[in-house]
Amino acid sequence: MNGISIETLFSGIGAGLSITVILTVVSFVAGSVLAVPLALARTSHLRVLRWLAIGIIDICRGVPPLVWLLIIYYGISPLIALEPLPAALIGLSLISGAYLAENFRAGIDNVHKGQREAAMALGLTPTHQFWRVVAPQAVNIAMPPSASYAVSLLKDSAKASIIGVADIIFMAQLEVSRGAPAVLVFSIAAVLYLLVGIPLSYFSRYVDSVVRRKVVTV
Amino acid sequence: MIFDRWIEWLPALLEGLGVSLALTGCVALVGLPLGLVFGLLSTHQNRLMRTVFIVFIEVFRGIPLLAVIYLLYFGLPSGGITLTAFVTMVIAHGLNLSAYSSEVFRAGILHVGPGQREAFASLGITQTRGFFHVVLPQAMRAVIGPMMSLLIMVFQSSSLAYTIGVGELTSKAFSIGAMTFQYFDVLALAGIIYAVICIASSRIASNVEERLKTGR
Amino acid sequence: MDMTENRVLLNANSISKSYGANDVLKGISLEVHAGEVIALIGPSGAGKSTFLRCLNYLERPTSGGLTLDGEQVFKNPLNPSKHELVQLRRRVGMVFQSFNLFPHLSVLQNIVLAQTLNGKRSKQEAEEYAMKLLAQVGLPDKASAKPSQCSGGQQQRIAIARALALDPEIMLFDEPTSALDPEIADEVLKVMRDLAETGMTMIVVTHEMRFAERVADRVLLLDRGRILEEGSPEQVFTNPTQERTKTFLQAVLNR
Repeated sequence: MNGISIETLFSGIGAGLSITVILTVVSFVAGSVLAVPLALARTSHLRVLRWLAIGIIDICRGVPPLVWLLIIYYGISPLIALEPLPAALIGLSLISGAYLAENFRAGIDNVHKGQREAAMALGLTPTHQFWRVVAPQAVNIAMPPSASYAVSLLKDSAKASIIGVADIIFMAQLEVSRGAPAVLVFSIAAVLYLLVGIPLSYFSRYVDSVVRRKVVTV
Repeated sequence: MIFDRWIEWLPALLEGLGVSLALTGCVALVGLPLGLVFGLLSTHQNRLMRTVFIVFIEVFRGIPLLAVIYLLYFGLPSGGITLTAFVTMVIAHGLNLSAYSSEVFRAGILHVGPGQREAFASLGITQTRGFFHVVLPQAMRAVIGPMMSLLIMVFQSSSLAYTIGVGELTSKAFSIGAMTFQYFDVLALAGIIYAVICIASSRIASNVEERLKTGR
Repeated sequence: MDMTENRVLLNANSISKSYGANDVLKGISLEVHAGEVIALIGPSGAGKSTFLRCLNYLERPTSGGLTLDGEQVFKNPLNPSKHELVQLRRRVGMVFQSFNLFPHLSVLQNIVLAQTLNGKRSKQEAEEYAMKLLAQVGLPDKASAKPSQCSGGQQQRIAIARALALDPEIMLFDEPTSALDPEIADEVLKVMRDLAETGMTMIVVTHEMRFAERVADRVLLLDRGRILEEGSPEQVFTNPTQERTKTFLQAVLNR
């Protein structure tokens, strides 16, 4: 096999691992930041804000991730010259922002009604009611589904290779184009994803069990 | 005007949409029955059997669909197997869906409590007959809502077929973009088509789910 | 045991509440004197909790008005300002049937939170006061526990301490022992009895007839959104004037 060993394949494909991790972590963090105002608007008393948020969330989630990446990289970069990596980060952050906003919204809705009443009865201002009583519990409730969303974000990040981001899949394709056997190469790529994904999903299950213990209904 | 161009491109994109929908349908035909089988085997009484299938499902759920598509598309020819891009996509995506749907089926089956099993056992109904007449119908009801969300995801992910040149919606849009250099306009139209279908079907899905819940 | 002064602390004037066509409260008026303990009893669905919740505007009455210590609480009772609502609730404490402690905070933080956020005390003073209240309800060693680590009876005693931390002029109890086993309920009732003895003004929605009989100065029996019977515990329990009161009392006392 013209000098190709499993070790060199592993290190060649593994060179994309850090980019895959960066794509996942950065778009998860940026998505969480975007998700906060979206979730607040989504649960607002003002109908206009609520509908605006629903519209943004639905569009972000209704357009397939790949199409988002193509729109941003091929459609917008002629205007502002985006490199593949920032284009992918923008696209994945938008998508994760919308998914996480829905998690946060469900968290806010699932805080027991009595909690807000108790805060009201203690004479807290509406702002304090929300930020000191409802929000911390909403975050706890939203954490397990958000942690498991991180796992699907990891897999979504593979689509960035299509617009030329040098992640695991991209490096694997490179090895195939140099003549390495595709079955072996993509199996190695799959193993690399599992190496990141399995600990991540165990972590998300751990978060779930911790939160379950912490937020028992009182 | 952008709308004039949209009208000009629409027939080609709708043709692509037809291929996307056909892909989705074929993937469902492969992935759902396979998922039911995996789901049953992952709740099997035999511990070894159960573990093997749970591991298989977990591994498949941990790998990006794109890796599976490339593995089959670039890998199978070297083993002497040549399939069309469409069939490759159906197999890759079908396997992927089977892993996800098996989880849904498993949850549905487990959702039917042991009380039901005890009930038909005490009526002298055999395990197998009871399973098909009592457990499965109830599980199916619990499964319909999540299954519809899965199919919406399948429709979205069918856009990955673009990478191996199946002429579905995203491919059509991209090739029009490549010819006219109006990538944004044509991809935006494709995005709108995807979004309209996904948003409408997820609204329908949640309505159906709601009605099934209250219908109890 | 009569601590009642003549000063009217809270005056609820013809409180009505409807949900659509459903009239839950049909014009209930009540004068509460400082230091008085009032028990609200009656069949479920009579409107007891709704009336209580109208007194701190967790439920907004459809009509009627409130005065607290001789002053109108709201300029316009049908459209209260946020400021007026907050001020009312800082003066009126409430204890819920389901405790509603904040699960993300420790017991001590539960009691400290509103004191500091409302600018009543500094953090250090608030913590000292919270410790004092915890001792008063018999739980000084639970300060750093989470609510989920406390029993139901303990949680309710903590909830009482939390409400007391704002030095309310009047305390509302909404079926405080209904979610508890009878033997656990006693520990909460004891705290409430001690509180009544300090001269706290209290309105208690309850199914505990013995508590109503022994601790209350006045018993109100609500039925279908109206006050059916009103008087001292002795009058209401031994000499009811209404036929429906007798039926109700027989049903609950023979349970």
